[in-house]
Amino acid sequence: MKPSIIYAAVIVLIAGIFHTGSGNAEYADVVLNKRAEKQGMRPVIYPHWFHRIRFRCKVCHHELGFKMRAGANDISMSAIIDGKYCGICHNNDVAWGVENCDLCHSGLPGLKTGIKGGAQTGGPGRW
Amino acid sequence: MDSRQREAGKMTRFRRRRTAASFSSDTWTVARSWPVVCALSTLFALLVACNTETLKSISTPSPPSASAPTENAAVAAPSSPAASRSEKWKSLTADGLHDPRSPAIKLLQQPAEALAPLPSDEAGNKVDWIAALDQGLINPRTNIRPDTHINVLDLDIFLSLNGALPIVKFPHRQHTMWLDCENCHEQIFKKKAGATPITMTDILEGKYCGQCHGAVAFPLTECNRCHSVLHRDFKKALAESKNKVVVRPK
Ligand code: HEC
Ligand code: HEC
Ligand code: HEC
Ligand code: HEC
Ligand code: HEC
Ligand code: HEC
Repeated sequence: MKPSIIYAAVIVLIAGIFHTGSGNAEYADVVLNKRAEKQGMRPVIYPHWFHRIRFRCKVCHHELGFKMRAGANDISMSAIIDGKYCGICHNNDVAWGVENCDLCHSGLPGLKTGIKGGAQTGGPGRW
Repeated sequence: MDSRQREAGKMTRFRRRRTAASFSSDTWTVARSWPVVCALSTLFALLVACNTETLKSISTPSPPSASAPTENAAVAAPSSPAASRSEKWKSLTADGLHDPRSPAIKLLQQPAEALAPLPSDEAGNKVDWIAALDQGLINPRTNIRPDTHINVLDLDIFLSLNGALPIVKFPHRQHTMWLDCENCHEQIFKKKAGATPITMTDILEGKYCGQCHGAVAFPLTECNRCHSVLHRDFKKALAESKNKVVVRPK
């Protein structure tokens, strides 16, 4: 019976998802740490919950061009200072500016780039 | 820094309001047939084994007092620790991501402060974001550049008519309040009902609906939010939606 195969898959996959989820982090927080820690800064924590109170998804993911895949955007500090990525808003105009290093670089050392907070999907590679 | 904090404070001073717990017995109407009952109970058993804490938050309908917003934002403000704050949202110092020694920790907003006043939900951010927007409790900006705007489309798509679980109703209206057509079309979904080969296994792997649900939008543990139309209520659901397309199985 075909449906029972699907149920089995559903169970195994969901169990997998929960197994390695970082359960305590707020849902949808993103860690950005491809470069930061190597250069002696704390990893960057980007909170979706905080930003979606202020902006629709479409503002970042359509208008400003952020790809919907953690780690897929090549965000670097010089790009931000040039007014790209986070710097489109964090420029003392839409939001406070880049001089507030610690507000973005607030993560624990050793974190890996990726989306955090409980249930997460994204394929076997993720878990 | 002062103006930043003032701005942040302003954004979170939402109207106080009490909302009934949104979780209802509906959840269990999903369990219409025994294979589903078996599957779901095994699922939950596994969840207990894997992560008791996550289970607590998704499977236990919280008592009304816990799901109602805390008295007001000030009660949950960083200056008054632990005692009054609900366990629903972990404090930034205990979330396993933020460095408690970072000088920013006192400046960043605590999730409980911003999220507790919003309509509550059982999973994800524990906020019903659709209700929050529909009720005008939040008013996220629709654009940064003046020449772009938001296009809301009222079109329901009914998928998976013959499954063992209730029928899936995909509402365009709620999605297009947040997203642009191009976030989904034609990258993730074809612009023709029934043309995309969606399966639940793919969704759980982070494709199709799972690109957002399970990452940022409410997670995949909430089966009944998508599988929302009981087979016996299908006619009624069709009559209720103004514009709709039904995807007939091939
Ligand atoms: C608006 C948020 C934000 C602010 C404010 C900010 N950064 Fe960054 N920074 C980032 C992001 C995002 C990255 C890329 C993270 C990654 O993938 O490693 C980054 C990366 C870096 C890197 C790694 C090297 C590179 O060029 O990408 C350094 C060093 C750095 N930042 C230093 C700073 C300093 C110093 C300040 C304060 C003057 C600062 N940052 C302020 C977001 C921010
Ligand atoms: C203020 C900008 C901003 C807003 C608003 C925003 N996002 Fe994101 N989103 C990001 C950033 C930044 C990332 C990480 C990208 C990276 O790591 O390269 C991201 C990543 C994602 C991802 C990828 C997660 C994964 O599994 O890899 C998804 C899905 C996503 N966002 C969905 C949404 C949805 C849905 C909304 C609206 C509810 C939203 N975003 C609102 C900035 C935003
Ligand atoms: C669409 C505009 C926009 C973009 C893009 C954006 N932000 Fe923000 N961000 C804001 C606004 C507005 C605030 C609130 C500013 C205030 O409180 O005055 C904010 C606040 C923050 C905060 C502080 C949250 C708190 O608790 O006070 C952090 C951290 C942050 N942003 C990180 C980032 C990072 C990292 C990126 C890039 C990956 C980014 N933001 C991109 C608009 C944006
Ligand atoms: C984000 C929305 C969403 C969520 C959440 C969701 N599903 Fe699905 N599911 C779908 C869609 C869409 C299909 C339809 C695929 C198709 O067109 O056949 C589907 C199909 C299925 C099917 C095959 C058809 C059937 O009814 O027999 C099963 C089984 C299933 N889902 C189980 C689950 C279970 C169990 C959960 C909760 C753990 C769940 N789904 C949560 C969207 C969702
Ligand atoms: C969250 C994702 C999402 C967004 C955003 C979205 N759609 Fe869709 N759309 C879908 C899905 C899923 C289907 C069904 C596809 C299938 O069954 O293969 C669909 C189907 C359609 C169809 C086909 C209906 C039919 O008669 O066959 C049209 C037309 C359409 N969308 C238009 C739009 C427009 C216009 C927008 C922007 C205002 C939009 N969509 C935004 C997910 C989305
Ligand atoms: C591009 C991102 C994205 C995709 C893809 C997507 N959703 Fe959603 N969906 C959202 C967001 C954002 C919300 C708002 C609620 C939230 O964030 O929890 C939402 C909400 C919903 C709701 C709740 C509506 C309400 O009134 O409460 C349903 C049902 C739903 N989605 C079903 C689906 C189904 C079924 C699919 C696949 C066919 C799908 N979604 C694909 C982003 C997405």
